[in-house]
Amino acid sequence: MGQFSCVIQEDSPASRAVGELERRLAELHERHYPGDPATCSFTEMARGFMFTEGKQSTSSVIACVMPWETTLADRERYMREVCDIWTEVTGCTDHEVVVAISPIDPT
Amino acid sequence: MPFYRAIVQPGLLDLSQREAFANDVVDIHCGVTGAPRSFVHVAYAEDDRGKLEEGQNALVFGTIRHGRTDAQRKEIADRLSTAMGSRAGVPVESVATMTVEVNASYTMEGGKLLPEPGSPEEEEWKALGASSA
Repeated sequence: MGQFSCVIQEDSPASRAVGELERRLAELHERHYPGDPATCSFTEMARGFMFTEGKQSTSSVIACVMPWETTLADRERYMREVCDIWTEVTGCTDHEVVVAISPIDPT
Repeated sequence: MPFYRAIVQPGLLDLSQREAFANDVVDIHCGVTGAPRSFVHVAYAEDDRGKLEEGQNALVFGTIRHGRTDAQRKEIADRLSTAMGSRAGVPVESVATMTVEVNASYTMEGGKLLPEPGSPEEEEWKALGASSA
């Protein structure tokens, strides 16, 4: 099972589009890993509780947990598509999106 | 990336202190590693669930790229503990700081995979960070 844990900013475009983001992320995961379900959670950071370069952050951090090993090419393609979804849905720039994949040993 | 998370006692830091420490993190991390400033994220959570140990005022947990030396990681941790103690007005001994390393190729930011520290690709990445600031 894939898991998306998303840190977003309160009252941001991402916070107003969590349903769409969740739907698109689930579709992305299903396309890459047919039959494997994905869950999605969102943590909204209150204003003044997250900073980027020392200033109020506008960034989203999307951590993807996958219970298997991935190749470099697979990771790059997958994360690129997460970035594309985020920028398309929220209108943010690539630089406001951090995507990380964490491999978890299923055993 | 890097992504630093600070769990603090409720009410320990006001907004100006949180902003000041976030800038400390940028100065310290980038001063030690040479990483672009625009990639440094700092998030705070107040410890409403009792995760901090007794007598502990703050826990600073940094996720950083693999490849830093032990000396760099120690310098970052020591200086961050001192900075948090100073900003919060609490003993440095009541602040715990740790870093965990992740493989750079497992993270994308600015639309590109992060480069390994010291790699030729890192110079291009640093320029990307500078241009986005």
